[in-house]
Amino acid sequence: MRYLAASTGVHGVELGVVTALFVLVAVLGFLAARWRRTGSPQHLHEWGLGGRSFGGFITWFLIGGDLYTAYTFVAVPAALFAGGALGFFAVGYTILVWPLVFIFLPRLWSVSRKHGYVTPADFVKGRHGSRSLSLAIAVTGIVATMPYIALQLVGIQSVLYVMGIGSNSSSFAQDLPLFVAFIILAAFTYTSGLRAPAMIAFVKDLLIYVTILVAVIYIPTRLGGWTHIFGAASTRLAAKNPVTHLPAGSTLLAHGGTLPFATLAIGSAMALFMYPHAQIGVLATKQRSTVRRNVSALTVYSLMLGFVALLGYMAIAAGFTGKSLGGNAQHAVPALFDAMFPSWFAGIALAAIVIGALVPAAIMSIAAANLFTRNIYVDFVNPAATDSQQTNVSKWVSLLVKFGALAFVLGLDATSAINFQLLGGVLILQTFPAIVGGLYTRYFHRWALLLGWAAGIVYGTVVAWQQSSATQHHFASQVALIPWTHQKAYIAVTALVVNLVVLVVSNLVLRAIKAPAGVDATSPADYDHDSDLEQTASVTTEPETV
Amino acid sequence: MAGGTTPPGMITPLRLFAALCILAPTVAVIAVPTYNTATPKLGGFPFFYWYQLLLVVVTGILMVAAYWAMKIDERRRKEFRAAAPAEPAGRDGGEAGA
Repeated sequence: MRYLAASTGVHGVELGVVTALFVLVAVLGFLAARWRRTGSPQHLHEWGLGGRSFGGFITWFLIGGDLYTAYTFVAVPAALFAGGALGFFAVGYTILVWPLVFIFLPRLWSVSRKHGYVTPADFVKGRHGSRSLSLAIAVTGIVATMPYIALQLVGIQSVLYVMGIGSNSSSFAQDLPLFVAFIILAAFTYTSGLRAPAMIAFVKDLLIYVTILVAVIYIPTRLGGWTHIFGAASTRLAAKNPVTHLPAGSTLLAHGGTLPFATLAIGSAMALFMYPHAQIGVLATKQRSTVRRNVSALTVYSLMLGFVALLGYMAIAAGFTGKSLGGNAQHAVPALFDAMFPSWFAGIALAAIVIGALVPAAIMSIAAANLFTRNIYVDFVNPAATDSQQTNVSKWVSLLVKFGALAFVLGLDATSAINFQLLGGVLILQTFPAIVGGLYTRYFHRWALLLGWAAGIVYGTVVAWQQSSATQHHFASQVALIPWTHQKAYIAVTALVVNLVVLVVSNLVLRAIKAPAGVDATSPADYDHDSDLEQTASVTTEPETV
Repeated sequence: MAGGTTPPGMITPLRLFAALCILAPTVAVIAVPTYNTATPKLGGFPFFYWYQLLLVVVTGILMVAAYWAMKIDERRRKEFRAAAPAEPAGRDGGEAGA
């Protein structure tokens, strides 16, 4: 088939367009250091939260950057390409996210602003008076974020592969472009902090929206319309695998597929704003009302995600098979763009994926660095660290985190990165009771929260590890049987139930024996507290809460 | 009903309305069996797909409604507090509308 010339030689025009746009974005990233500066650059509120000064417009782009990563662009359609309707849970998930955000994030914003909290673990420490619980939250956040950053690289890799450079293997010369891209990303994050991804997010979203709009209008006309696309997908997915004698999937959920679909949507929605990088976009806003006002506009991202997901079916209709993509479904969307668009526009579309990787990778590394600095370095290593020292530690850790992710991708294969990211979702959800529960009640004892967290982590990790398939021995599936039933569900949700059971039982015991509760640094009024002009102006001089 | 002498309680019609706007899309997404069908089709899309895409748009509209309901509710509470300055230190809510 003529579509299948995916990896013959370097695609010059595409490479040229991608390089040009990349250079533009890199320049913006460095210029961002001077953008909207309000206070001393050597303060973590400045570097790590953009001076907490972002209004509705920037916030929209910044939070969109969390939701719309290169990985979403590549993996969600790949899931539909390989498995059908179950992959479409991503749309339900991004619907469920917004009501959740509407309910609890304004409270988190208020209490964080009032007490100068930079990370979710800061809040947990202040609320529950427990450094060990805060450490647990911080470590979970870092561990869950690392593979997520690695996956942004996987997204870039698949673009490079389709353009005829780079590869799945790990030879240094072929990975050189990836290496260069990452050094530039690391450098501008180091100098500009959160302002860099906030500024680049404009370019990224512009490219992504143009690409998706053109893709959902133009590609179906070339493939004979939506009826044909769904028909082709349905036929292909129903074909039986010669090894397992089972169909790959279906364009509708199979029997027993509804609970996995629903739990994947719920679990992912609850998990998203537990990720430190997602919270950062909220904590960086100037006003409490910005968060809620933004929620409705943010649903535009969910709609786009729905159409992005359907690119997976378009790839099927275009004649791509797992085999023609080099055995890697992750290449489906880049290969589809490469085959369908004239090369100059394919260049723009592929650049959208690459730049789409830079924004979240920068936010994630800043978030992980803030966690390390505030909840490990300051709490356990150097309690007397000045603002300037904290900022420096964060800057260096952001570099370390990114090169860790790079080593991860180059050293291991992409599949391991994906496995660890799936595990990350299971782990991060276990912080939900301590963070969201803590926003509403102090009924739960700090040690009970810690025990519940540990139980959920252990259960989730073991079960995820045990999942095997014909091609993979471990981490082969996100869904597993619920114990003592024949029904499958998302492992993260089952683990959260284990977490909650342990939490409730141990809480009763701890309260019965009157175990010492931690000191609550917050007061009820802090959770509804709104910004006023005076406080916005004095943010940089706000004393650190220890 | 605004400007009454009784203080706004925990539950007001506005808050209830906002809660409904938030709850409705959540329930709609979780009720998977209600939309796991191929028909009726729309523009070539099986029901399963176009329904969820439509739900995204509806959720966006409901979130706007919930935002305004909460905003009006908060303003009424503020007005009430201003009218009855019984509390020792009246909290200033800031210039939210700007």
